[in-house]
Amino acid sequence: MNPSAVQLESVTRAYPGGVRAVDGIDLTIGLGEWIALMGPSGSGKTTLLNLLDGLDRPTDGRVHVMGQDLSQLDVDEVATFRRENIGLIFQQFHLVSYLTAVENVMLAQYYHSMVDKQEALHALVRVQLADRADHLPSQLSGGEQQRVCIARALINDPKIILADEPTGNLDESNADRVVDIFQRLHREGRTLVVATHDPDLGGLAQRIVRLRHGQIVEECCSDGSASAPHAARLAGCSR
Amino acid sequence: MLGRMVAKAILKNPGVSLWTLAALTTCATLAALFATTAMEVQQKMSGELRQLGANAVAYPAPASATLPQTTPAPPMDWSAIEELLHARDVKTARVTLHVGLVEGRPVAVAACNPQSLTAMTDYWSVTGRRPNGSNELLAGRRVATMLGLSLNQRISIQWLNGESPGQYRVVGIFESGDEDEDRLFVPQVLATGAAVGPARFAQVPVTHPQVPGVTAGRYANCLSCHAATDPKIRNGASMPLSPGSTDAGSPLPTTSDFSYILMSIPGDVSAIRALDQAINDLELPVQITPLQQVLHGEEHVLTKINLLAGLALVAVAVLTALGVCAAVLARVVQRRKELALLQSLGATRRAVGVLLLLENTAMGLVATIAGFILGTALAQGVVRQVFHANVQPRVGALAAAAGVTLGVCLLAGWLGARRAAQLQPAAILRGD
Repeated sequence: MNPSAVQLESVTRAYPGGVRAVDGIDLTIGLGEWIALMGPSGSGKTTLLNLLDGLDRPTDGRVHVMGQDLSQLDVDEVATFRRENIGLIFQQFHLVSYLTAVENVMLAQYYHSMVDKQEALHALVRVQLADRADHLPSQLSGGEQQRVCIARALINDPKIILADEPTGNLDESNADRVVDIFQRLHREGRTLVVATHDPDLGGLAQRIVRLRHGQIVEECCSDGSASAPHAARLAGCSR
Repeated sequence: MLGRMVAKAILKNPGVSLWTLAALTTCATLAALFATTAMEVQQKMSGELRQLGANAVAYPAPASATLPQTTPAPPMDWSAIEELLHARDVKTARVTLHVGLVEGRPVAVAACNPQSLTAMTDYWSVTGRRPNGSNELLAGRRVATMLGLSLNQRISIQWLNGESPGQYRVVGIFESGDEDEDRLFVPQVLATGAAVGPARFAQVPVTHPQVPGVTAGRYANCLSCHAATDPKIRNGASMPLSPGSTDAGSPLPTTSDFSYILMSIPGDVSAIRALDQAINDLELPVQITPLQQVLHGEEHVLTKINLLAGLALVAVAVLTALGVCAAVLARVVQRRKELALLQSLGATRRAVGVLLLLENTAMGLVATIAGFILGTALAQGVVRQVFHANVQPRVGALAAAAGVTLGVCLLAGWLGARRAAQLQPAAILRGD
């Protein structure tokens, strides 16, 4: 296995009232690996992603990302670590509504280092949105907004991409575009952790981690083939 | 990028931004209004009071005025003092006090240039008119009552040195509200001619007849006071012409001529004190005394006005701060997803706080400029109504408006930043 990008040790995230969104998970993700987190709503996928990016903290256990124990960092140090190492892609896109597409990308540059509009425009070219650079999010379709979100996540060249239901709000055509982008990112050697309900997208991952009630109930490997039906691509995974 | 974000964020939320801007502009307007008005009122009131005439008086210093019983009073040389005063643009009127007898009664007779006297005592309420000619006389109300004087009455004033009596016509009777009402005012030339200088008067002790230690300066005032109130003098129809004794055999409360200068000093009490200090530094034998009844009243009024303006400003600032803080907190709640997103992109809590502070500061700057213009315009209206004068835009008012407004902005921004720091980005971005 590749050196680990992420290592979870008995990670638990409990909420007041005793609800355990994540319950004692041990998981290692190698550098350059594409992992799909799958499971029903409320199974803990998003919570697990938030623990990986440091937006949330475990109530128990340790989260190591790129060798860094996030529990050792305070909130601002985690923010600094996140902008250096992690790109986030959201199901709801979360674009700043009063900034244009290119400005939304530049926003990530601003908080990372320095603003470079040409570079931001180039990031939009990579997601085929060069002609929509000066449009506000409200003037973009859902698929276009998601691609802006991806461009923003990629602009600082993160080692790890965390995506939460990236195709959840997209039609098939736009979902395919996003899938294409993910495959390209994987080929570039980035570590992808994708939480999804979509079996086609999940089937593209090298490994599927299936969650239920905050626990890993199944791990299986995929051949990562985009062309084969997902059921045939999954080895050892239940449907 | 940050500037673009700040500008767009403000424009993106026009409702909250307008409310915040309106509150801040109101605050800045009132701050500028109060500050401008307070400064203008201070200046204009001082100016108005200066127009009333004298605000200070210069007496011979006690050391030179309290003389040994047998030492003749040396003539006071006012030339150096007057030169200094004129150099400082101080308007003056030199008054020389004599003791004269009218129908055998001792009275304080003040000799002064009529024009100078008018400039210093413009606030006197004169029945009749002020003297124009050298044989005309202006009588204080109390001494006129005591002597039974009426307008156009001709009187004869006998001088204690035996000079031929002066003949005067009473052309005016005045009320001043102070001890000047116990005096007769005659043109200086004639009085000087009558007295022919201080050496022509009998040289007698200038100490107070009843209160030891009272110096010549105060004694001059006491003299007129005595002339009006001391039963011995008031009823002393048989007052002898020769100084030094009364019909009862006690010392006559008389003096050689005694001069003082009424002054209209530009500025407030501090200017008077500064002038007194300058005179002390030059070791001139004079002391400056503010005319307390005017200046203390002025200070009192100005202090009250400033206090009132200050309290009103504090009240406005507090109310504005409450309104703006509420608006800022509302903005934080309204924009919680955006702020959470910024944190997910790597913004530290401090960076988010800076963004909120900058937004508030930008609105504060706009509000300060708008408020300063509005406040100055309102102050113009107030001052024109009260003083019939125009105001100039004042840097102090701009500073006050900026200080209060930006202070409110920073306070509100700080609270907003604190609120933003408490946001849970994971939960917010998840949609909880």
